[in-house]
Amino acid sequence: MSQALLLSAGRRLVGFELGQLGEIVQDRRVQALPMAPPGFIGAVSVQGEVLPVIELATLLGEQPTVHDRRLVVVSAPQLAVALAVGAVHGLCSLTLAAQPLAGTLAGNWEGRVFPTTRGIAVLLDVARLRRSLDECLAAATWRGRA
Amino acid sequence: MTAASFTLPPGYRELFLSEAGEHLNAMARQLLVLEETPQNLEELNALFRAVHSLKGMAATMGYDRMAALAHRLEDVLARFRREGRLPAAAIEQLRAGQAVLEKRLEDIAAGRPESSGEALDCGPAAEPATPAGRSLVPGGGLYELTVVPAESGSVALSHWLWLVNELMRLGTLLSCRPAPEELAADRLPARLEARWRCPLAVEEATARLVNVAGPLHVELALTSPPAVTLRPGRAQEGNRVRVSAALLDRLVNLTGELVTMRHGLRTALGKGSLEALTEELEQFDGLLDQLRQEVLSARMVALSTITERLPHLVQSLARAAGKHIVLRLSGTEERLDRAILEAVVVPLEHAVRNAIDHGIESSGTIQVRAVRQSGQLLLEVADDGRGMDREAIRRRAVADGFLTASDAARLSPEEALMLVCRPGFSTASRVTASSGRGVGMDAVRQGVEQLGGHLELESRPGAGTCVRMVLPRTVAIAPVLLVSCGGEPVGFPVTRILSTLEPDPGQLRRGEAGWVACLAEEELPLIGLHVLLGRPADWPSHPAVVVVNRHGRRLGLVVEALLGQQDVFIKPLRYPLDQLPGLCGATQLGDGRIAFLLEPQTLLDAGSGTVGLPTRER
Repeated sequence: MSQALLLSAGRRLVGFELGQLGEIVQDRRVQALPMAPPGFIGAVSVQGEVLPVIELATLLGEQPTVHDRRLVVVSAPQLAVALAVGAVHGLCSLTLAAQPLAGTLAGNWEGRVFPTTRGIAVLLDVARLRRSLDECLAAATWRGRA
Repeated sequence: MTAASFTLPPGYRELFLSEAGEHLNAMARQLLVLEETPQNLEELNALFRAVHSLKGMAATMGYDRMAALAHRLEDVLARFRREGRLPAAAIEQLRAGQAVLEKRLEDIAAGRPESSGEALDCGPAAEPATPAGRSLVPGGGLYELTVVPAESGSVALSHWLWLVNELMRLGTLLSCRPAPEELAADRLPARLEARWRCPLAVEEATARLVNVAGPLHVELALTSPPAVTLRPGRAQEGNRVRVSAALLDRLVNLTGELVTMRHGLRTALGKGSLEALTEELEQFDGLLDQLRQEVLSARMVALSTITERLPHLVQSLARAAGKHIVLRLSGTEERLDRAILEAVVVPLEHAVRNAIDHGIESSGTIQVRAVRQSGQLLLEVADDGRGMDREAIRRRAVADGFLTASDAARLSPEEALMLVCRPGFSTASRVTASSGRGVGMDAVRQGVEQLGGHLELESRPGAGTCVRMVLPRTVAIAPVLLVSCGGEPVGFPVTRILSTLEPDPGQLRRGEAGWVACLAEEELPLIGLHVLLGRPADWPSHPAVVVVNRHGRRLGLVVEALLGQQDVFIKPLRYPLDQLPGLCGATQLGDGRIAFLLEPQTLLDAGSGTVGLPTRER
């Protein structure tokens, strides 16, 4: 039975499979990031690597809420970022296989969902996050200026 | 046995990738020699050994398709080795085989299944496969899609949803009409139009979509091939450099000396002797410097590792273009940091392709030359072709709205040439018609600048063109000027700075086009760095100025303070930070803060809309 880390991003519950997460860091100084597009709120150093801090809610098309003091580090060969989230709720078991629920989640509608005691959560993975980042970068205002 | 049926330690795979790449490069070189001298038994034997080694290595690793193809090529070679000469037809076949082996190695490196090359796999006498058969488009192509219901058959909402789901699964949906949300709200569309980025080639993408489209008719058009993207400094995971045993010995000795030094420092600290402590620290500095030099030298690789494939490239392209071109290489024994070497391959080959396609008309010479000059490497690609016509370039730039006629007239000859490096300045047809040069020069410039270097062009009509890449030789540690902007530190590689100023407030004046510093010899246009970086800050009351070059013009970036020059360890940036314009690395300062390193020209180009710089006044 696999496990996911349950997070809040805006009004949405999000689960991230544990295997794709690096660590959770707390109270890191988030520094300004030059030329940052929307959703990129700064940068932190984690284990010697400089990572962008990205607001998960913005990436999912949600209104951001107050951030948790903790940052969730996603660490995969194709992507390494620190996610600023509304809250880190803890681990939950994927007791039922996550199911596709096309069409109900704006901007994220190919996501699979699974039930938790807090409500229905969408299961995110690195590939989906990367696609959202691609779109965010493609839409960045400086693209039109270069 | 397949690759998945057993597990070798990860290091073996990386070693295999590195060594197989070397054998394939050697194959290309040996085939060139044999083309000139088909009876050269020494080279024929060397070629046989390279193919044999590849076969053995691939079989050991479980890469069966690669091993099988190498085995067939080995059979071909064995036959001709007995005959004592390699005929031209066999050389072509072996070249095709080498291309497929290269593709398979790329697949293995990317973790993909080994691609097919069925014609070659079937036997040595078959027609060679060409690399053009690749199914993946590196970096992703941009497609336009139109989907309508087929004339027969009824379409349910689920068909549309399946198709859009597949589009999202295979690539990135940049725009979609109707939007997926509208489909989800049960609105059955009559037609769907989308822009889609996908790494698959047209045929494969079409096949994948048709597979799920059911009664929908899908039309797919590749509107833009992938942009050439160049990435700086970061060595790919697992890339290797060979280190001599002597160097390892020196590193071990230095480590031993550092251990001794630690003991000396503790003793001095115990005694409370400031004098002894200072002396130990000075020795420590010396050792650290020595260690740094040794480690950096271990990363250095000869330029020849990337230039040895050029003869084959030039010969193939020249043959395809029906031209006779001689390639001369010099200075390829010069050594560069491995990361720079890997990143310079694309701009170098791009410059060579340009020389063949647009520089030399029917016959001529391309000279690739490397020269070391005060810590930098000058890598030149020079041809003796038709050269570039500056006036034609000026006219084209004005016609395309890159600058006004009066601005164009003010450009120096060097600045006029550099117009071909503006993003989007030229297409093949335009430049061929006007100046005969320029395809992808913006990509070449960008690639070189991302490495902390810069590009220079020299050309005269009828006297050829020289593309000069001025490159740092190492990237890991470099001198950087740190400045304060919006209360945070940022850095500039010192190679990208012309000078610094701390002008008196009386020297600053607000003109019609913005702030200028009135200096004895010039009026220097000023731009607030905080504006470019989007940082909330006021114009500093006592500003400092970093003077940089922007397309041949001097320009001052106003900062709050100059914090000083430091040798820093430059951390390469990974995705998505490597996508932000103007950033060429980062470093961590002694107090733990991160300082991003800025490449001024790219930064200014990206921020020109914010600060009203005169570019592309369309």
